Amino acid sequence: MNSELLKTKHGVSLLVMFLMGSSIVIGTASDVKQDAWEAIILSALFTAPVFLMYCRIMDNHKGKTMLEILPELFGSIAGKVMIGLYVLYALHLGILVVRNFTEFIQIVSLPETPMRVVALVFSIVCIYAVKTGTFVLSRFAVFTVPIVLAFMILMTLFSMPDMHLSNLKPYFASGWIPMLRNTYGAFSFPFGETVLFLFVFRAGNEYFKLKRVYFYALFIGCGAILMATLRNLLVLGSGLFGSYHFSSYVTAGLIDIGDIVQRIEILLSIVLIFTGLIKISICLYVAVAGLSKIFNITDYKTITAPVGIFAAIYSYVVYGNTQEMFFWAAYVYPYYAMPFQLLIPLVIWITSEIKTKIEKNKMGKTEKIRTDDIKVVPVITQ
Amino acid sequence: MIPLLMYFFAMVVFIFVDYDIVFKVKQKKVIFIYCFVTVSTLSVLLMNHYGVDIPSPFCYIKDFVTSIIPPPQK
Amino acid sequence: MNESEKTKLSQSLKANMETVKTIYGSDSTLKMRSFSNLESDKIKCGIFYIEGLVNKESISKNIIRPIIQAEYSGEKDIPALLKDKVITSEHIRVEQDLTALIEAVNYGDTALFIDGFATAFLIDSKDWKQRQIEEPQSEMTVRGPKEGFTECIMVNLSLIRRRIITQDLKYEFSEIGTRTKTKICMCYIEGVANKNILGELKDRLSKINMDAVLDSGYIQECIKDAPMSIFKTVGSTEKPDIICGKLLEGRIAIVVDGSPEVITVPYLFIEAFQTGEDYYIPSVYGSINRFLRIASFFLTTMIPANYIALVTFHQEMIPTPLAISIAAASTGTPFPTIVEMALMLIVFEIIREAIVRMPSFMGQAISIVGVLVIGQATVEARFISAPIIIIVAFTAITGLMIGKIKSTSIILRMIFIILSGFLGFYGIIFGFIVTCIYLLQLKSFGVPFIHVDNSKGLHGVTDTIIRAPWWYLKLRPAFMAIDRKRNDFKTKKVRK
Repeated sequence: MNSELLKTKHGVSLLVMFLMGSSIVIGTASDVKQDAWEAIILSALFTAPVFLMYCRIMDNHKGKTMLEILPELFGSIAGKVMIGLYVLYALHLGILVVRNFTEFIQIVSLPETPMRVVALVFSIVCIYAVKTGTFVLSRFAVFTVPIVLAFMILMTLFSMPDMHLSNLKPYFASGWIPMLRNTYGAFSFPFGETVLFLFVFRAGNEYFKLKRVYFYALFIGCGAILMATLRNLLVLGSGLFGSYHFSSYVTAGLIDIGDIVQRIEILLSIVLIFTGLIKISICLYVAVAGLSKIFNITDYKTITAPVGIFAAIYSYVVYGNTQEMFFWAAYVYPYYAMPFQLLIPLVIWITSEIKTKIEKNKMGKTEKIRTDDIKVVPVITQ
Repeated sequence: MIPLLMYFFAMVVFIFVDYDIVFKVKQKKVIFIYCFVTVSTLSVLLMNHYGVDIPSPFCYIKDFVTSIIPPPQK
Repeated sequence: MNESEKTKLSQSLKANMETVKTIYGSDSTLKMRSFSNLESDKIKCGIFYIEGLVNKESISKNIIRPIIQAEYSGEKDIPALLKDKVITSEHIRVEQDLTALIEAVNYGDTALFIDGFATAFLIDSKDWKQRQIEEPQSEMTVRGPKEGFTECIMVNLSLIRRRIITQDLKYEFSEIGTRTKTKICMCYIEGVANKNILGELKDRLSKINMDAVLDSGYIQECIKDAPMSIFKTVGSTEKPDIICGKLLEGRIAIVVDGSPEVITVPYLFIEAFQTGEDYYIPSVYGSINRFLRIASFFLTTMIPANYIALVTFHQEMIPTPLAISIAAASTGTPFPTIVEMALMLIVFEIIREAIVRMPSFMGQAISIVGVLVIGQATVEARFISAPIIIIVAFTAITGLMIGKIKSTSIILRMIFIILSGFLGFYGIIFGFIVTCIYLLQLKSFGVPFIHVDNSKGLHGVTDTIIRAPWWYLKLRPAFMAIDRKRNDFKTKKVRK
């Protein structure tokens, strides 16, 4: 039925929620302080060709997700190994985000509730979301994106009385090397993580244009993160901005309109739960779909629950304490993620281009592409 | 103790919810994954409960990365 | 005698009448009469009927008198003669199976045996006491028709037929229930209703294998997509104008004999907030009412949980003067907030349920008891804090706005209260997310429960949160209707 079709707006909503996921909670590029906004803009410029590369890989193999492309390009065993690498990456990312959010919830509002309980409840909701399928998840994203974006804009408007433009000066004061490092950091967290969406989407459908999805999402997501960072900078100033872990939260706490709209930071954290949920669900989905492809399990829904609970437990173990979490996010994660976000896709792209050229020469004619209703919910075949 | 019980409870609930998929389909790998997760849950929670240090591979990744690209001096 | 012989009629009138008498035993509602023609003894007949179900005057006028006074000129084929030329009632059919004969007589027909022939006639003479057409208590309206369905299927079908005169309105009868043999009728408009849904519905109806079907609710539960779900996926209503509106949108209605509730299929989430009145009053007021209803649903499910979360976990969000008042009101009360809230909500549900069942003259007294004793006295005795009573009263009133989805909201309310007691606002949000995702994947007969309108432009909004004026309601909902074009207003008519 027509109702199961994934359209461009679904893809854009999923991607935007994913991009806003943990970046607004933790903040990106906080090392360069008042130049953070410039770092974000530069990273978006850096992301654009990377997105083009992702889209090109998918366009070369229309109608397939990476789960099917990788074995096709590299053979069954090497393909499964590569899928396994991405499974590990997705699972690790999911664990990190769960930890981010449970730390956030615990530090900020529920200090007495043990972190494991919050992690477990969050994971259970994500497990349920993944079980109902990506289509339902994307419909949920379409429903919540306006709420989240409207709330962010409202918060920025309410913060305007507290903003001081002088907080942005001096411009470009940090040196080249910190700027480059932070630009790359802002790329890898969050824009580069969208490589996981290659395991979710298929290209080649007339209702769903992958390039449009990626670039609209880049525009909106970058805009949202930029707005949040600028707001935090303008309100807090460069000194405070670097020292708070959760600067958006602090900014929300400073809003005070007529003594009634005050201390609304809880609403911010609630709105962020929506985004975090989608990010964790997508990571969990990729991990589970990849696992079922490797082990030839018929339905990925069967192993969703154990993997999800595993993620919940392991989130407690993965960092020793909060400080380590922030250290990791700023200094270690960009380089750890580089192979998954840049190097391996580069290899895949080159291989894909070579193979497509060879096949085109063999066939001597252009391939006929399927453009009828392709369901974007992946079907794991035996 | 309570988090341990909660995790167990969650696992049991999911097994029942997925009962028809897990047991009737009879895919050994699925049951294996369930067992693996149960065992690792138990071990992690028990180790935490008794204060044993849990080895995390991510420490090694962190050391490896920071040795190559050192973080800036504050 | 084996089974097939048991249900066959014999040629002897006396034997047939004896068989019927043994079947009915000492039932004195069974009335039998034998008579024969004045002129010739060859036409000897016997009738039997159930007293209370028939119009006795029509039996004597249409059956007995014509046969007694008929002019017989020696035809051999007496049944054909009686059927075509003698019996003057307006409906007659031939029946040869004894079981079917008994069942038809039990419904109000009169059976006629003819001596020497193994056929019997069933003559329509139904006339029983039934409820007048009156306004249904559960769906009162200010503006709009006030007719409601009754328990007789023919009357209900006539109410629908009178409103939709086109020949495309099709009725399909069938019987469900092995002992009650309840008549049901599927109504749909051909060319508008979706054939897939129709086929699926017929399939599910044929699979119902029940002893008794006493109300449409039995069928509702058996054909549901998600039987254990708290959300209704098969709708029901008591008003003919609403049924006709739904039929015209492409839905299929099932009228069940003996029940004034007619069920409609498919049923979407938004229909719980749509009433017929929205369409009869101007679109602005209709939109306001609809918006109020949707807001009431959210309020009634979330307000108790939000209050508990605010007071227990996130006190800083309450403006300071209000926080002081709440704190002052809560001093000295023995129970934690969540227990107080749960207690008062349960008490309210008990009162509500009790008032529905009791005789009306006691209603006044009980409402005074409810208000004064429970509300006032518990606050004064410092069992429950006053803000809780306010919250519960507000929840109750908003709950009354959304009658169709009330039972769902009760359960959701309780779930949210428990969640908010555990994790504060985060618990509510997790519950909200799970509910949203659950609703998004629910389907009613293949149509997504939260309807997705893929048409261009704002057609998706025209009949949900607001009720757009008729010139904008151009298309019927997607998936349900084959022919989607509803009206053809070229431009908004502006009369100068």
